[in-house]
Amino acid sequence: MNPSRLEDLLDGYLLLDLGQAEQAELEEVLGSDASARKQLVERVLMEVHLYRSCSDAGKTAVAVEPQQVRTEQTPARGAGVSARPARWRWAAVAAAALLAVGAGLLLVLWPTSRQAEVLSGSVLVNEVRGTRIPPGATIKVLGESPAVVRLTDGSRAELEPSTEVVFRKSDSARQVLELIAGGGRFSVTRGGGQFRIETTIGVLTVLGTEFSVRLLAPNGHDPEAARGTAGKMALSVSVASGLVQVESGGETVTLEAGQSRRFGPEGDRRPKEVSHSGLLTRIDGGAITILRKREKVEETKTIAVDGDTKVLIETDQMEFVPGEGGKMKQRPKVAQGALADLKAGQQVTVTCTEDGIKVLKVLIHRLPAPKIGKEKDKEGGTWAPSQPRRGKGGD
Amino acid sequence: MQALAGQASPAGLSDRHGASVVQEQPSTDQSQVVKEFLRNRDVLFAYLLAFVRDYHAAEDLFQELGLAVVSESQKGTHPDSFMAWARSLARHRAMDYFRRQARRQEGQQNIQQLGEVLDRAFDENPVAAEESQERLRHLRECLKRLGQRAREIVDLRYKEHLTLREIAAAISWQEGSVKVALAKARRALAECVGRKLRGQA
Repeated sequence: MNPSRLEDLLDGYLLLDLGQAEQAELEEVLGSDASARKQLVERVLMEVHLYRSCSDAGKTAVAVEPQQVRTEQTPARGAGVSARPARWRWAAVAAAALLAVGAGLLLVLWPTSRQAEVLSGSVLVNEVRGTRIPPGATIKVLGESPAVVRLTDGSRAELEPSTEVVFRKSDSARQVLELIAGGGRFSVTRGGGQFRIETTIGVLTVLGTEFSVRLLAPNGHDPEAARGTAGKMALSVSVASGLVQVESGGETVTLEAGQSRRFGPEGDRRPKEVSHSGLLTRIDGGAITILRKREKVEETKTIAVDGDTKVLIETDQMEFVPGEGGKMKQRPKVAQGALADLKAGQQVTVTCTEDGIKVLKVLIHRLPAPKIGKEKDKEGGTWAPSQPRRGKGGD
Repeated sequence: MQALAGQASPAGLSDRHGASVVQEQPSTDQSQVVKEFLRNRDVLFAYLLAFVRDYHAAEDLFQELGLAVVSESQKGTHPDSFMAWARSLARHRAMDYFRRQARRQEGQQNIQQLGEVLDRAFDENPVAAEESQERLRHLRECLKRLGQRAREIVDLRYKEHLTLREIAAAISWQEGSVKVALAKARRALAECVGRKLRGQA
């Protein structure tokens, strides 16, 4: 085959711009001609190298430290927000690799797109169907499928059908989205300044995380009906990883991984949670007792546990998680445990319902328990506090 | 399109596509697998790009591939032939991509055949990581020799990720002219890189 003809066919192939006849022609030549297959490999490698070379002007070199990188298989596109965008994609892979290699590495990252971009789904950008979203644009998700949008900072949003968002310009934050209606799931890259989502009900400031946010109309599910009814709407926030700070109704709440909360005029429908740290002194069927010190006075709390109580155990391994201001901090990794793992003498943090009736979660700390109270009662497996008094409220 | 016959691995393990050569070993140097992945990332990315022909999709799949490689290495998976094994993982992800994108109008059989041809092409023309790096280095030098207009078009395509139509609109050209100019630029760059590889710079 004429080399320039093959070049044309390969061009068309890579641009997804081949007709059926051309496709068949290319398939035939690739199947029968080794030099054509060689040209294909060289052409594609050239394509990759061009992307890399041209990104040099805007390249970013960063030292990647082991951080909170999920090494499990990312969910399928459309099933959730998981895939990471260009700028930190290589970093994420390399960081994951670092977890295995355990060595420092300097990476040259690939470029970012200048505009947010619709990766899948159908979207109106400033009332016109489009895929590129300039700063200041308003978008609306069309149809029955969610739209996946790659944001300029590399974060990603999966927006539900009928969701309407303004991509606001801001000097003080890297990304500000104003959620007018609907909701979505966000996967936000770390660093690079504040990522904010503003709604009529509250403002979310995100510290490198995955979370969902949804404006709830009075009827509970119709985003279109929610427009113009801010006074009756509610805001639902659910955090999968990292931290999200929500300012709503004069209250500032920080939600961490696994926590959900509803904000708005109807208030938080979920019972609030309180935590107590102390020494586990007794496990007795359906209840546990912890001993803690408050203002130099020891007190015990006995709280009910049941099959729904989650038990987590700190391990010897450490992990990095976002802390205050988005700075990474180190903490022990936790493993899933069971009620049977609870033993008297363990240092624990107990999260329970606000009324102190039921334990929702127990975290068993790895560090040895401090010496509080008197010696262990070997018979009953209990610890006898020196000056016990019953506590009523939370911390 | 002629199919590439699958070959069983020395360990007797091969996937249904015929190329995976993997065996589980209890004590392996997991970092070696990850290092191999990082060394060969351009070639693996090229394989994915050749498959899906969408840069951003290839990036997504490459990320998934990287995480899968790390995960497998942590399990102690030790491939006899790293590239064949990694390509097999990549191919599975590309197939999933086509399924997710419902691009089966091309026909599942065609996609299968596409994978076979690509495997054959990459098998026959292995690009060592070092050679890939050398090509990249030469390309960077060759890019400096491109004419201003050609460089501008190349940048719009590969730096700004614009489509041919968007480039045409940006520089007030016809789309066909942009296509021709890009092809000419790539050909010039390929010749320049080839000369440098042969030591004729």
